[in-house]
Amino acid sequence: MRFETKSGPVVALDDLDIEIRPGEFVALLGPSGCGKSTLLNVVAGILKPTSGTIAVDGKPVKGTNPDCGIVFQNHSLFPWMSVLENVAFGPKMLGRADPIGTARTFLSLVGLEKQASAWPASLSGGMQQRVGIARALATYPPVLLMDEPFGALDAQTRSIMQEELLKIWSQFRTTVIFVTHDIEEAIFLADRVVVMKTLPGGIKQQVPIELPRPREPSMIKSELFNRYRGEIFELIREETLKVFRSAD
Amino acid sequence: MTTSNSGGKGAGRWSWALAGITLFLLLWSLASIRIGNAVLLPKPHSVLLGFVELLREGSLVGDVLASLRRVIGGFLIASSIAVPLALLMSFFRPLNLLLSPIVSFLRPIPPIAWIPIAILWFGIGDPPSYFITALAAFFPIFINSFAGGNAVRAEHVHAARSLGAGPRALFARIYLPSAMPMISTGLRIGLGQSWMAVVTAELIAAQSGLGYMIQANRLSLETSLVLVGMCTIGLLGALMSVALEALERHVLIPWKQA
Repeated sequence: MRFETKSGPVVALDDLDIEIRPGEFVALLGPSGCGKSTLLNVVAGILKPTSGTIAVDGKPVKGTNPDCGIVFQNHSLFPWMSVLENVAFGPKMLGRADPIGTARTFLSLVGLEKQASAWPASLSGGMQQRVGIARALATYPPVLLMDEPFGALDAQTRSIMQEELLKIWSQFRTTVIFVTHDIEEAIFLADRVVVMKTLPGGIKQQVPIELPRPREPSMIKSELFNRYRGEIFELIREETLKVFRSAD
Repeated sequence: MTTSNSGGKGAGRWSWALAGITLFLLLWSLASIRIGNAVLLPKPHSVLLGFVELLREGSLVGDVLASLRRVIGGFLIASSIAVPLALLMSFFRPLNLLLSPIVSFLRPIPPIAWIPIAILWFGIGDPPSYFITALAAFFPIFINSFAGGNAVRAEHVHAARSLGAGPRALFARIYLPSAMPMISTGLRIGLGQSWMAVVTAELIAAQSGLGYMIQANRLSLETSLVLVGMCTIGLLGALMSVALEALERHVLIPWKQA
């Protein structure tokens, strides 16, 4: 099992491989139980693979480390630190110069400079996720792992967050692995959608998304978007049916 | 966490509290008139007179200070052992498995049952009182801190590691604040237990303090002075609880008030 970002990168779960280019935005998509979060956690070093190795930039991953920034679904901000302290935590831990200044820069990037001294619990879910993204980016990680980061948000907030994420990403062009079970979200965000399969978990098919960038919300109505949606919908339906029938 | 002081309309709360206290004093007066025996139940105003007299004479302040010193000393001893030990036990499973049975065995023994052995070991006076107050505070602090040590969320640990936190930063900046709400609850309960225990200890094993003062006045049938001691204990206990709540709100877990 290998994963790299700079030179001919490879990820393998079971007997399957994905190539991920540096700066690529990859969405892992699939029904629950397909192992998409597991894969993400293995890359993050939270879970240990039973066999094989993972490497980021050629360095094998040994446990959670600052090469991979992580944005979780929710509840991952430190409630005992102010918004600013949350974002400054990474730069401070890594001994970078001026962690507070860095934190302020990233907070204004996500439009929350006014909330700097607030406790996380006083923010809305969408704001908390923006802080989470700012915190993960503030260490300039080569890879950003996002585990259904907008899964707990309402539909309106969610689509605004998707646009915001793309805006931020276009400035940093860090490699992103984004786990979701929302087909439109995956197509709208990613350069490539990796459809996961179940029983056993693995990769079913990879769909390169050739919508131009910057992505606009209006593209969701385009013919190309619809074609991707139809294609991916069928792939996922097969997998979901497989799980559904195996339960009988 | 109690929310007793958060929100609430100030003036309304205070007038209700005042009405409650007045009602209590009224019932007490009625009861003492009905009983008509100052040795069994003196009137509130004779207790107040006794209070003023003991204040003027200075012995009450001395007794209060003696008791407070024992409570705070015992409480500090208990906290400084119970919190680190509980956190260590929640992080190192072997230590937990090793010490859990001992804790389960010692915990049900009430502090009062330790008094005879405390006297044998330490004599009469301050040392056995410190021992008893520390013992009384220990278990509530320990049990809550242990639960707090297990309350850390996996997401917080993963997030902190991915942001570069080493073991020391993980402990000080993630585990400790995660445990702090429970630790703080333990401290509040522990202080209350310690305050109750000091009176018990002084009734038997000391020659100063509020417990000793109550005992001495019982022997001379000065019931109104016994009640002065009891009321002082209640008042100080309530004040300490309020003070600790303020400490909680502003220092220990300020984020919980958001």
